[in-house]
Amino acid sequence: MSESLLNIQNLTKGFPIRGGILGREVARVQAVRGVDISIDRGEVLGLVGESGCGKSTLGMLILRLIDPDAGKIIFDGQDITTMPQSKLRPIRKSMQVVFQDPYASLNPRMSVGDIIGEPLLVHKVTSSKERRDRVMDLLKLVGLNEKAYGRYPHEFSGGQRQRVGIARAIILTPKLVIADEPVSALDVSIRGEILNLLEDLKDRFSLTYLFISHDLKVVEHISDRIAVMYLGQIMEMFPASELCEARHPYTQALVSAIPVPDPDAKRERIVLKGDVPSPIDPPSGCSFHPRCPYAKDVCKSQEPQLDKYGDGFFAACHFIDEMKAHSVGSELASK
Amino acid sequence: MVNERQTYASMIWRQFKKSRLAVVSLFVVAALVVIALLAPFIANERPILMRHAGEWSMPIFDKASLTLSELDVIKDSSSGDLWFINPPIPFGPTTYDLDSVLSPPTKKHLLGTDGDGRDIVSQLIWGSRISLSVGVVAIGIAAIIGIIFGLLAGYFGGWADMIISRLIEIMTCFPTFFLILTVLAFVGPSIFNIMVVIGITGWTGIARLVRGECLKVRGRQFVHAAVVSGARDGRIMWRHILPHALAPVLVSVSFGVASAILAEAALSFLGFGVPASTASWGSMLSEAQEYMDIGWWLTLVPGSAIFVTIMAYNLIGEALRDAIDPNMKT
Amino acid sequence: MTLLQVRNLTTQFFTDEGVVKAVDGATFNLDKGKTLCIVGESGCGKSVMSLSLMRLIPEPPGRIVQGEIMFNDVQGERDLLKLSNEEMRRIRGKRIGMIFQEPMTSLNPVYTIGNQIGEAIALHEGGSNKQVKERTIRMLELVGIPAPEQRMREYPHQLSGGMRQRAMIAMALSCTPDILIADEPTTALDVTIQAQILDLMRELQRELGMAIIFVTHDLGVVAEMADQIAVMYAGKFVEVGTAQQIFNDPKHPYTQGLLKSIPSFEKGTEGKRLPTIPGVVPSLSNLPMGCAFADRCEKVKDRCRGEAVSEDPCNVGRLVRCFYA
Repeated sequence: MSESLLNIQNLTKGFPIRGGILGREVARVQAVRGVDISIDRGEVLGLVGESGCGKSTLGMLILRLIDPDAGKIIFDGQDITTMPQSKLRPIRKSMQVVFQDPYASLNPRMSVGDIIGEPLLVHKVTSSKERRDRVMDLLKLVGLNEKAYGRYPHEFSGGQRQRVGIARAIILTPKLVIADEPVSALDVSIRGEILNLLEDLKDRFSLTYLFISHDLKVVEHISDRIAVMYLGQIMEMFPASELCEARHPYTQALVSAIPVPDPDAKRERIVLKGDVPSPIDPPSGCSFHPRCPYAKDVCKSQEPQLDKYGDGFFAACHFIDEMKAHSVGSELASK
Repeated sequence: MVNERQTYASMIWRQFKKSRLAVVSLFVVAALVVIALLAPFIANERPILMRHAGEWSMPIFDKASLTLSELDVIKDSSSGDLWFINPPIPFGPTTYDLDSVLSPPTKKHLLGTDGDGRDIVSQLIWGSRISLSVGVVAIGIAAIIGIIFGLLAGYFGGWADMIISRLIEIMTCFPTFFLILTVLAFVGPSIFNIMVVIGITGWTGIARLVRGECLKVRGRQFVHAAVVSGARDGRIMWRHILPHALAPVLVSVSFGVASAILAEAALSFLGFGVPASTASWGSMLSEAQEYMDIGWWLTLVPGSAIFVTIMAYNLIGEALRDAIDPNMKT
Repeated sequence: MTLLQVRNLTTQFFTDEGVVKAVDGATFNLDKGKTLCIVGESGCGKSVMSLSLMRLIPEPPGRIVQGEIMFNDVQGERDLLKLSNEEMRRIRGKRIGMIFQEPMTSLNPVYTIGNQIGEAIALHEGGSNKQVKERTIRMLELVGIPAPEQRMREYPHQLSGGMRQRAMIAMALSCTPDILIADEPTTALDVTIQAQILDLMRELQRELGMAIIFVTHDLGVVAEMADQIAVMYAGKFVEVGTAQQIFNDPKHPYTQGLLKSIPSFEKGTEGKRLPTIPGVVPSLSNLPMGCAFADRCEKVKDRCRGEAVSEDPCNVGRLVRCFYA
């Protein structure tokens, strides 16, 4: 077993909501609540959850774009939880990010060549001639024309821009790439190309991905392992190839809510009642209990821990042993 | 969709061009700049180029050389080896033509003369130098201060923001013009002082603008991407945030130049401006007061000059604003 | 009964860069109580299509250049494009309702939910304040908003995304229209909420018997909702058929490519390369003379580029705009 590249322990982050004339904290959005995750070298961990579940906040925390309230982030053997930005700067070379929105993540006033080459420039790793060559190489590698070098982001389509974003992320050959919804803003026919590109690059540069998405199908396709997040907590973790065996009621509901492109599929569907509760005041006990079809009294009072229930399977559910893999999963597999 | 090649600047220019008045204004401003730069060659009491006794010289650069009127006297008496090119307007701003005091526009003095016999065209041309340099330098100072403070406040937030924002609020509480008057009363009027004072009282608008733009851009993902790349604060502010604020700052600068020119004119008019010996549009107006009833050209000419210039800068500013954000236009 | 007959509908935008052919000769029928899904990628013209049906195209720069929209309800058949603005206004909201992707932008933030639904009812149906209020509450109940009497006093920002979309649906259905046009109504929602809204729409359709025009990019959603499907590419319908025909026997290479490029849960596909459609969608202002899909198509031959493609050149028996289907 290879040593893990990223290890997160009990990571917690809340955002204050200020009110009144004095700007006092009146409430706190509990975005991430005690998350433990580890990612092995060369692995792709998919992090899936609905909007507001804290998955993007988790990504920002790992990248140290925001500071955690509690917990530990150990990256490549170093504790970076409270490392000052100046010491963090050299470490950033090995930790990069691809964002969701290819329109917002590229500076519209910079040429594509400058955007991709910027990490090289700020880390002063090459001369300007070499930098140009490297950028040219990468343009080719991500499937863009060399002419793109001097052009501006608005001249490209969404898929092409995302390629630029990916090129920028890998130019320093990082160890970890955090991909935050990298294909969610793209059309179906473009999505596949970007996913394929991400996989090619992973093999070529032996990258490790934390792949964040709300789309379980995309996550299932690209990941080795999947972590399901709900209201700031990890609900379940399992090998991606064993999705049908996942037993947590929330995971099952997620799977069954995905529309299947087959008009003849008649299937039993678990439609969750109600909305995701507010992260300002998460439910007591198991945070899923107000929507869970199997909730019992103990779920309201006692918070379940993320426990192992099978080889590579972990879940936070009091009754995980009584749950069985839902028929929806197997039905999908047969399709 | 893939657009044709188009940079942000060319996009703005294309929108800007749609306003015909603004394009005309741009020409007016360009012409003013050329006139101001070439003032010594256009209106001077000394020849541009002269050959006398076999020697070439450029008397316009030599304050000790003979003036045109003196040369006229010599020309008649000398043996003929005297040749020179006149500037188009053969009067300096301080050439006293005592033969035609308070002359209305004539062939000799195209826009007349003032009470001391000084040519109005010449004063107008030299005065444009003052207006232009006050406008540009004063707003240049204001823009530099405004951009730096705005960036610091918007990027770092917290205490820096708190202090700078309060400073801006305090500054905007004072009526700027009286502030300028008060300060000038202490430091004494000179062009340099006027420029500096207008500059250090005029930065608040730009600072506010940059701060706002900074807050808007700071949360964008490409700034996060730059942080993740390991870029330092300075680089992020300079490369990633400032370019976004630049266009609105340019609009503000355009309006600012107009108001600085107006402020200088007003100060000179009140006698707090440039020394009386230097021609400026404001001081011309100030002197014209004495002859209000007989010398209409004395007020009309510098007044129109101020009007046209300010109008031009304002029109440019407005067209720029519309070009940056075409949706704002109704 | 055929409720809506659209013939050769063509909407263009006249911009500085040239004429954008957003909808180019769309022809379809919509039957009472049935659902037509218009599916396509971003920029294919599907949203302009739905706005055109409501005559909500901003003019200028846009204009419906030709075509007819025959609407056939109890008052007889008439061409929506020939109605006066006033007559059209009376059809909008009353006979044809519409919901959008982002309910927040289509709900007015300064009025309560109850106010806005009530206004729609009062405008088209009239009635006393009490009647309007009762009807509003009934509508909110119908779309599954709990505690409607309290909720109707809330403002849009106080509701969650799913609840807002429900309120939006309540507003669109307040006058029991014959047709509901839904433009990407679930795209901004989470999957679990999307499932709720889709269920709700199907239920309401059964109950109220309205026809739905459902515009989306998500083939999964299409499979759940559609009776008829129209696949749109670069402003044109490239394939039209029943849900079974499109999913089980797609003829057009673009439809086939779209269906293949969806990742599936099928075992053993993890880590395998996804089939893709290479290339990019052509610009609507600069379309080729022949088939717009030619540059991305595997089956492309010379004929595709040189010749405009008619509706069914291969005699499939339904619209399949391809020479080699």
